[in-house]
Amino acid sequence: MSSLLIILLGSVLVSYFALTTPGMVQPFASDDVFDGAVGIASATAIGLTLLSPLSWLVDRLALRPLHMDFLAPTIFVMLAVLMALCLEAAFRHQTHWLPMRLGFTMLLTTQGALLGVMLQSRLRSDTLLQAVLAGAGAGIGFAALLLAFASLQQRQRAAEVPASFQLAPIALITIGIMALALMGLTGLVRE
Amino acid sequence: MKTALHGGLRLPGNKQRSTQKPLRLIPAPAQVVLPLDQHAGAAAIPVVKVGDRVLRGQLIARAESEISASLHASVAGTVRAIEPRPVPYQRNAPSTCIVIDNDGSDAAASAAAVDYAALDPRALSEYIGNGGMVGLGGAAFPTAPKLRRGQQGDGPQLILNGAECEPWISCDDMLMRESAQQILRGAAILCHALQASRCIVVIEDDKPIAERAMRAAQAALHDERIVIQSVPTIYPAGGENQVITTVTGLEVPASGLPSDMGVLCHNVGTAAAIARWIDDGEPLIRRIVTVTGSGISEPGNLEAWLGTPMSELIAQSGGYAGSIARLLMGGSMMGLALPRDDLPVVKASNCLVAALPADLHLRGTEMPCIRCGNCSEACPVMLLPQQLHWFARSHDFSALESLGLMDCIECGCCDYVCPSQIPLAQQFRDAKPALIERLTSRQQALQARQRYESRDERLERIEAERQAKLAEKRKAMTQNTTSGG
Amino acid sequence: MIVAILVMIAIGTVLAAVLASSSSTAQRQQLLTERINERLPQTQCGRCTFTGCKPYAAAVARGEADINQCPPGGDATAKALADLLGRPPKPVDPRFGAVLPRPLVAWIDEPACIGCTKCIQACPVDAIVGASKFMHTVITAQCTGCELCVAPCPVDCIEMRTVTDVALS
Repeated sequence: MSSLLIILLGSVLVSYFALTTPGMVQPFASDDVFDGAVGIASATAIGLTLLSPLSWLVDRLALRPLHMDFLAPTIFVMLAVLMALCLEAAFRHQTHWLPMRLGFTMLLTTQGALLGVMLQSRLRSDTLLQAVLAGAGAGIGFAALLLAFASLQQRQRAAEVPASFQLAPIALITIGIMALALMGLTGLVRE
Repeated sequence: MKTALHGGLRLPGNKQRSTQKPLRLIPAPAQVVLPLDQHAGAAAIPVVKVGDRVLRGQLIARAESEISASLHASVAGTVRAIEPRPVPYQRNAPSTCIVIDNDGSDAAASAAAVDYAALDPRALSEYIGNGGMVGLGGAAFPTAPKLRRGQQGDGPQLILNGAECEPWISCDDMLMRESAQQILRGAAILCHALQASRCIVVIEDDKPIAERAMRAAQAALHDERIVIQSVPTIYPAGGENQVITTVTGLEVPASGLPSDMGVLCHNVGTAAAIARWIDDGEPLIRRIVTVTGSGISEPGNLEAWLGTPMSELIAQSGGYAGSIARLLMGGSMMGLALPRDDLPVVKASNCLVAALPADLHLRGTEMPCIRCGNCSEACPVMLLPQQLHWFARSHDFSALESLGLMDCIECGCCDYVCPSQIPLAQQFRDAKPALIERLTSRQQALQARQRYESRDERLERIEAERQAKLAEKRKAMTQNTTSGG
Repeated sequence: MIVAILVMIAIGTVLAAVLASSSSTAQRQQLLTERINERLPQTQCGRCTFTGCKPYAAAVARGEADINQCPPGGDATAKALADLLGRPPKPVDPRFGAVLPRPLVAWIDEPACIGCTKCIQACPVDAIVGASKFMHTVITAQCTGCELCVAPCPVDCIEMRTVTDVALS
């Protein structure tokens, strides 16, 4: 459970900095940070829910019978890229979140979460249903964390932060305190 | 179904001093100054010129647009000037006023009583508008357009607001004590204008004498439509939306009006003024003003003619008692500090407070917000003043819009409880025009874009038609040539 | 080993095919242009060197124009565009025009007007009312302050004034 949490937090950090630091990878054409966060959160949640069973299937049906377990990380990365492209195509056809070419795809692909979850599901889930649920659960968790950070960011912009703490330092402090809070959840599920 | 007010404050009323003596009508002054824009909406347009002789109660300015009110002369005399003069409410520049010199004759324009029951509601509301009626609770919203909106539903519930929750103000209290019958008469007229089946008169429980007088009048009247209801004394329970929630349990939505929900709220003073217009033919040319504060020698309630300089009222109340810190028009929470005391009494002048420092909840130096949340607990509209404060400081207008800044009633409760002495109500009052400007410029840009696009289309269409005609002409010419040989 | 290489090549081919077919820049450009246009003040003045606000928005979406070329929008518009596109904000470039502290509207000195309709044809939002040999007048509420009508007037009877000046005159 705690390893999953670390993976999720790491991914959220990447997304958070991408969304909030101007001049960095811009996933959406939207001026509201929270709006952009909702876009990335929903995209990743959908991606995880679909990828987890997909990777489980690929693993059980192709990799293990053919004794190609060593290919797992490579193939899963390619699956992640595929999923990112499909999601971008899907998002392009609606008018609210407008994905910016490079930013959106790169961000989704580099989501360590995607990779982490896929590997985890391959190892831990015994049935397809478990894989689906694990993916969905991770997706919802990621979405919730990212939205929480985005709301914090909105309030931080309005607050009067001392000059030496602005941008990165206050963001890291906030995330650190959030991480502390979330660590309280790690004892819930016995592994 | 009663709903308790969220937040709010229990404040010392300070009303005892001004309710010891009966109401008194003070004599008309030598000159009255009547601003044309002393109500919400568009200014009235003058129908007299400089040098004209006017009678008391004569129409001197007409309402020309949907939301406006007419104006009548409060004294008989000659129109001395129609020029900009300083006024006791917030404007960017002095407002145009009609100035009348009193000739001492006190000649009144002919006034006739009207059988209101014979008029249909539309005609009655128009007639009420002809009397220059506006809300006398302090906001001065024109009564006729408000009634017209209320008539669009069927049989709304009428509420008469006698709460008067703000400290120091006692004009409605005295009116209810002495003219309860006139108020109820106004209620009956309003019920007819709105085809209302019920009228609830709301009185705060710190006014027992007024309540007794109103109940006695209501018992004598035998009108089952009218009900007197007492509500707990808390500031700002007398705000229009707050009264509606307390009485009906319904919450007026952010973008809506009470009339959308089948409720209409009028001040008791407005009802009495309407009764005076219908029964005695006297339009809105005088009102009760509470003159009070520790800086007044003989506080009390005076009935003053509109346009009287406030210095007259202070003189009639024994003059100042010492050097005052502020002269407020209104109460101590929402009143406006006046820069001088010779400004004219207007339709919105409900109270004058000559305040010594002890009367005011003066603030010290502003300190940073400590995020304690007292302000959110005190807000009667259930807004988040702390968040509004941060976003107002950082000029984040979209956040202000979504947090409901436009719903702030500027009551000052958040101000009062802030331990860091932050002038929150003032900040919100400053931020609102900037937000409104943003919203209007967005609206204007949309309109400009539509006009641009339709002009583009029109030019293209004209060009296409021209090309089509030329092409036809060309075809006709070539046919001619080939057939002509 | 051979199998592994063949599988990798197969996956690579599939992905390449997907990548090649997934691009539809036209629709994306259109949506982005629309988004940018919503944030522009719609003055249609041409100070940005494009013929209207929509052409400028299209140029910004294509990357041919910078975000700080709109003086009527001021620094607020430049910042809104910067936020939208994820770039660092910058103030309006003074080469395209000065940012005015107060909006100006056109005003016609009616006694001097000769009824030539040149200004009516110039106005991009049809804010001038009139006809040939008839009085021309500006509908102040619709005027965006683009100043395109000032130059064509043969008798120089149009000038730019603040809204308060127009109301008082």
